[in-house]
Amino acid sequence: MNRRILAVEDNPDNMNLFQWILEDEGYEFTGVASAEEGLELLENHVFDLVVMDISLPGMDGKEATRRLRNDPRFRDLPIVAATAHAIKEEESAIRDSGVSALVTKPLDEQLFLDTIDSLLTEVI
Amino acid sequence: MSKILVVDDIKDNVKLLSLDLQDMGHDVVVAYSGREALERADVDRPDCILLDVMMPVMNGYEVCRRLKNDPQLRPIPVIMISAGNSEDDIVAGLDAGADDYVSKPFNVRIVESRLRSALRVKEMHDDRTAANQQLQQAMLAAEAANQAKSDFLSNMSHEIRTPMTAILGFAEILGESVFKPENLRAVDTITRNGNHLLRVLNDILDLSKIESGKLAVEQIECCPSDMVADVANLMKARADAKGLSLKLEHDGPIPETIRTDPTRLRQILLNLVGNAVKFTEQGSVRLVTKIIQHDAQQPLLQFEIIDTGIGMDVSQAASLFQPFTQADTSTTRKFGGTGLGLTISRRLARILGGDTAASGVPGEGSTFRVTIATGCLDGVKLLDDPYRADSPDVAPRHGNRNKSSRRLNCRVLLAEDGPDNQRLISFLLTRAGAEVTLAENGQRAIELAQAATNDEQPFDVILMDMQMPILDGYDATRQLRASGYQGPIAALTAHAMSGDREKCVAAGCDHYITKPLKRDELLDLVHEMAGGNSAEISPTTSATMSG
Repeated sequence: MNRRILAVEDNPDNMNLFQWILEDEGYEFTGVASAEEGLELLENHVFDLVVMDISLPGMDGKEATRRLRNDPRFRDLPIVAATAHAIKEEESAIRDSGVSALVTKPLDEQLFLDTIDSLLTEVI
Repeated sequence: MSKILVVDDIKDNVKLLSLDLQDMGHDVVVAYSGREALERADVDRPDCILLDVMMPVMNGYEVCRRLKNDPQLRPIPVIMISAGNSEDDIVAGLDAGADDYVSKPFNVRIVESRLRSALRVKEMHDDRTAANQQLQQAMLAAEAANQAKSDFLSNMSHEIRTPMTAILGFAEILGESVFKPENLRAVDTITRNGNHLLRVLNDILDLSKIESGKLAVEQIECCPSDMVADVANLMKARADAKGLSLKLEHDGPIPETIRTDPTRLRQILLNLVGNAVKFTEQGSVRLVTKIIQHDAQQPLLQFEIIDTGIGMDVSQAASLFQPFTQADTSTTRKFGGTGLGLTISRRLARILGGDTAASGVPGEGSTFRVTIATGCLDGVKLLDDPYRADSPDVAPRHGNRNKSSRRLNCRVLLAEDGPDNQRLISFLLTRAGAEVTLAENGQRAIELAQAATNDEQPFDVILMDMQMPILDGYDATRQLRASGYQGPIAALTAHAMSGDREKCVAAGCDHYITKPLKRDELLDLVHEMAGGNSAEISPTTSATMSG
């Protein structure tokens, strides 16, 4: 069965990019435009990994990640933060929210896919 | 009208003095004991205090000391009034903090005059305090404005990166499925311009960091001729593509090592040599290194970048180091560039204890000169022929898009504390067939490397993160080398732009790779370190280093 990935991203072009890259790699893709929708969807659907944009309207990606980590059901859910922030302070704030990995935009496609692959394949 | 506090335990004295003061036009507040005086001073904030010394319970000296110990009340001038007239009395009063001293019986005109003097001092003090407060407010406002600028830049950076994600991402996808040459050219143009925009952004962030004094500069021993050769290596491909010759020269002997920030020096040289190549259509770019030693001044290392390009006139040379200035606006259209490179280079050179200068003749070529402080050169070996073996030679990079092409059959010790990189690097290496052992700090890496060597199963490759807790990668590598460890060690560093190779070489690393790590670069590097064919390694990312 294909791995299911949920992407939370408010920019429709970047959402298309995620979809293109991930479906091309054989993942089953679902996208939502806000953290609120993402959390709601996770209540009733199973995903193997979440790609989380950080700057979102309403609840931001850091808050959404914190909420997921506070819920025992999602404590181990792999979350990849994708951020356009190039500032060190912001990067550590994102990590502190509990994401599993962080990639910066513009995306390095190979690095992005390897990061996801490594989170879905337990090696160590 | 000033407010005067009169303190005396004898009511008649108070009354007398108060009447005089009121006649002079002052507002008078009175207190009949030391304690009351402190209370009134605190509540009424008088402009001056006339303080009797001899009082029961708390005498005038004590009152004065307490007033002068209170930061709020300290500025109020205190004139002590005492029957004691000896030298000791006067000294004791002034030592307690009094601003002036009057003996009883006093002459009203003298008291009046002393009071005026004290009030003048108080007024000056108040003016200065007000001015200081204004300055303080202005400084806070300036700091807030600067913070707002930083926030703005950071937000702008984010707002530009977000759409660039879609532009560059889709251009890459398009590039994989396009075969008609004109379409490929279109995709390539989109990608090139997108990357250019990101460079502009990074330059602006860099400049803003320099201007706000937030740029951290290191002082590390490094080899200038290696660095120059390295820079030439990186620029060789670009020069070759335009048919330019890129020559390394030196004027007199060059110190083997200097103390500076290699990352920043590299950034300057890449910038200036890159510019020279960009603005030269035919001929050559020469990089001439020279030591400048004046008596009693610290020595400087000078790099001259001399090209046969478009050149410049005197006024252009003068304005070139200003932000966003190129010789003229048509230059920008023709040659591109952020217009910030020279500004950044000059600021960096000055931070490194030197400066930059430019000169040229229109149509004949330009010379850019940069100097940096070398630190003390006592006992440093001078090289007569620093570029002997280094004719820059670059193997073109062959991109390898095929994931599973590289198979590894080796044992790797990965010293890395960051969970992201632990996971990603282990994953990539393991999937490629390598056996990975993890060390979460430098101390553990030394233990594991030595244990494996003692068991006669040494690691084929050590990947050493340079920033680690307990013992960092530099110290761990130094200690391993000091203990006689001879296996290959690659430094992993996060210095994205230009790296701090020299520092890693000095510590004993023989390979170098920057984060974020790319799959192909990582696998190629490990393959090479484990004894594979090194010909396919890109010098930009994982060149074997001499030294």
